[in-house]
Amino acid sequence: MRRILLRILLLLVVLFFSVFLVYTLLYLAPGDPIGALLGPQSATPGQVQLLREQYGLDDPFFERFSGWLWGVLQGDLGRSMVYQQSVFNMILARVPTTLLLVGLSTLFIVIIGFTWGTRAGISRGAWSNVHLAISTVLLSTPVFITSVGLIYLFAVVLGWFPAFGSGSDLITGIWHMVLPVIALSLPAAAYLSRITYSSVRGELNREHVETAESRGFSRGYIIRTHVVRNALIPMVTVAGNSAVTLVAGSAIIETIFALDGVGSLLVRAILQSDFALAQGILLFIAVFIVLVNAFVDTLYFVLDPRIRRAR
Amino acid sequence: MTAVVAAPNNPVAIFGRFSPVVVVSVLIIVVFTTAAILAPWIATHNPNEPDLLNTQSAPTGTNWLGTDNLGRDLFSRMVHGARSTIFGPVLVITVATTLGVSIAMVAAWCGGIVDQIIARFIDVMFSVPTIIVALIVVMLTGAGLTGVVIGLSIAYVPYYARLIRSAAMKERSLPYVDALWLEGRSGLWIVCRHIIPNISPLILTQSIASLGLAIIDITALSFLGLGVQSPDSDWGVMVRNGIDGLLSGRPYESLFAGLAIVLFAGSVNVLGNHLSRRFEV
Amino acid sequence: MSILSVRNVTKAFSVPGGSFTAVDDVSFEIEEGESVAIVGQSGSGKTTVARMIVGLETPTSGQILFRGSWRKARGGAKARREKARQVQMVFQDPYLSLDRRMSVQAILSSSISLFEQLSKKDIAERTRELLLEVGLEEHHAPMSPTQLSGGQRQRVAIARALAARPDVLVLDEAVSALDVSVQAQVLNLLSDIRETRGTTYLFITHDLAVVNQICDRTIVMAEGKIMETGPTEKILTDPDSDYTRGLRDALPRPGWVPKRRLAT
Ligand SMILES: Nc1ncnc2c1ncn2[C@@H]1O[C@H](COP(=O)(O)OP(=O)(O)OP(=O)(O)O)[C@@H](O)[C@H]1O
Ligand SMILES: [Mg+2]
Repeated sequence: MRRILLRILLLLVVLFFSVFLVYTLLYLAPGDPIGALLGPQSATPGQVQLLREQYGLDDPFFERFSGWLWGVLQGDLGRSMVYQQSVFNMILARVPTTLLLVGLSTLFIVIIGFTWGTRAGISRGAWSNVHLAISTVLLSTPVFITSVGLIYLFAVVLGWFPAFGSGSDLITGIWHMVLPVIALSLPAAAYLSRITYSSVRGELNREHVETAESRGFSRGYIIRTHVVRNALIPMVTVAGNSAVTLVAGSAIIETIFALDGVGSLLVRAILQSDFALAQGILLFIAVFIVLVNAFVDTLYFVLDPRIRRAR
Repeated sequence: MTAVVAAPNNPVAIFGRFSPVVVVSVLIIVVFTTAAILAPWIATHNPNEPDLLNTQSAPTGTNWLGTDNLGRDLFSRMVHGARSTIFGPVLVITVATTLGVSIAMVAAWCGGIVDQIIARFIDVMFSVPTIIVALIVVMLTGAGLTGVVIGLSIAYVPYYARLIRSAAMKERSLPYVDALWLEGRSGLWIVCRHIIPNISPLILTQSIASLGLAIIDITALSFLGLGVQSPDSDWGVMVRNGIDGLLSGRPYESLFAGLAIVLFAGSVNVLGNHLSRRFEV
Repeated sequence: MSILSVRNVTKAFSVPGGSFTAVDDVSFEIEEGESVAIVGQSGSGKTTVARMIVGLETPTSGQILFRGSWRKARGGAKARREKARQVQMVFQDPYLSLDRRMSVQAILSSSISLFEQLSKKDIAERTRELLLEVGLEEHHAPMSPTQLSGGQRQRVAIARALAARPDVLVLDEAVSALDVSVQAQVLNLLSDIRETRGTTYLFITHDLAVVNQICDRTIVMAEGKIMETGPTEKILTDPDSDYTRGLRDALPRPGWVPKRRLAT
């Protein structure tokens, strides 16, 4: 328990430093936030000065940072200069879409990757070669190309799924999610299936499995009790890593499928030099990464009796 | 002692025997790279010249791969786009390798607290997805190839630094390093003339393995509009640009560009896997 | 004046959860031209003493003097080069103490060029000389260490150490990794070199057979401390401590069956 608390404390320190780093980098960024704010309108020097004061752009660095951080702790991430809205509200409005996308994808990855890897692992012969070939192709195909391919095949040629947009309610929302989820999941599912495949293979060759087999236990029983359970542990790490990668991937997927999520908002914020907005989203992602890491650590601890005993 | 001892500069001894898949991959890499270098001579049209009377054409005798939504020749755009698509990642890997190896060497050579700090830092960098690191840098530099190359170069550093650091630590603990130190060689000499050359197979393998990733990342960022800016293009931009045509049933631009990316990145990966198996890393 | 004096040297390593004293208040002297052995069980601190003498490790306290002047560890490349002319070291494992990527020729000539300002031609000549001196042949020069046998590699390592023309040669288990017959060859070689050059030897070993062959005086170490010191013959035939006796009796000789030990 103390171990976990210590771990969380360390993660908080890491979190603070990453927040500080992101803030500093954007503080040092060239580019002119006032220019971004005004867009094509022109303004007198007096008006510009007024805006600078309004946004506190001339205050010393640490004052600005601590002010910003204090605001963040109270849920105030500042205002988007381009959209003239509260950054916090903008993010909040888009979190459900991204969470749905990432959540469904994780589910998809775990189910497909695990069953596929186990299936290939316990079968001898052709299955495992097919598995190897398909997973190799999927692993080296970038998600944006998979996406475009899926759109062409399932939206344009076959017309089964919509190509773009979020849908209006939960049902159509999920309907709109099908292609994005598949596109986002396939590489990670292929990766997970590879990992599962090799750990299943490794477990099958272990002595206790052979002993159990020689004692006449059925193959299905052995696989359920020994093989799959031991193969779960590497899976947790992979799933944790891919949850983090998925959030990064969602920036690409949401942009392609015109989903109104946090990822596509980040890409837009960057293209439009909307620093406050980008900062807020990066902070959100940093928190997410830290939380996932903490969760994976804890899960590890629960799943693996060896680690538990060693501590 | 002629045939028994494999001469160290015999290519088979270094790279191992090539399987057919590896041969094909190397061929693809060579052909694409040559096309990129010779782009101005190979291209049949000016890649940026629109022809509004001939937009979104299917492949023909004059436009070998068809034309895009502005009537620009796709073959010429592919060949010219190959330049940043191929050399951008090569630049990324060169910079990342140089930075990563330097950091790893400082950590491994200095040891102690310096090493501890660098190791922690690498760990933290590691948990941030490369695309996010690249996005942060692009935000600072503005969209464009420069920002993407710098961003990805930084993002890839921890991958090298971690791997090379542990290899260098192992190398550093070997007694031949002690012997050189006793003779009065400087740390810089030992690192540059002995440790780095001795782990160079590992560095090379890692570089080629990450080149495949860099191609994917750089085209993805271009696809998002953050990389090469109009009117120039690379294959990622072309996949994006072709979506309009694709929705109206003319998928040529996205198809060809996407295929080129998959083929090239895949070939680099095959070569990388082959080399890493060869060097057992 | 002794060529090498070790005075009250202690070395403590920091280990997880505290510190560990590997060498504890060790003092001894070595005279010019002498051949001295340090023996002791694994972990008794022999290598640590050797590494402190050559300057690969800094003593926690105490001094190491060369002809009466303090040999400080650390220092820039130049200072180390000067110290290499005083003391050089041959390492235990000939497989790891040579850069595997370099040819024998390159290894030796790069060492020679560090210590002597010679023309290219003279360096080649001196490389040849060194090779012959340690009993290798010219055709070994272009080979890589990976193509040589263990004994041949150890000869290369010795040749490299000799390139500095050191006054003292520290040999840390320099023959332990070799077959018995090769071991004898290398030991003979070292005896010859000693005769021609008058080099002082410090032999680090756990093998008393080696000690018997080449060393005038023996220092016995246990748990970081010196147990006893004396002429090799006395240590081998009539040791003072049970520890030394145990060390001697544990010696595996061909055709020699250890006495079954009863409860101690
Ligand atoms: N860098 C280090 N850090 C921590 N402990 C060390 C270090 N180097 C040596 N030691 C410890 O010091 C003790 C003495 O080691 P040393 O290598 O000097 O023994 P040795 O007599 O040479 O043994 P062997 O015959 O096995 O070579 C050992 O217990 C070792 O674990
Ligand atoms: Mg030792």
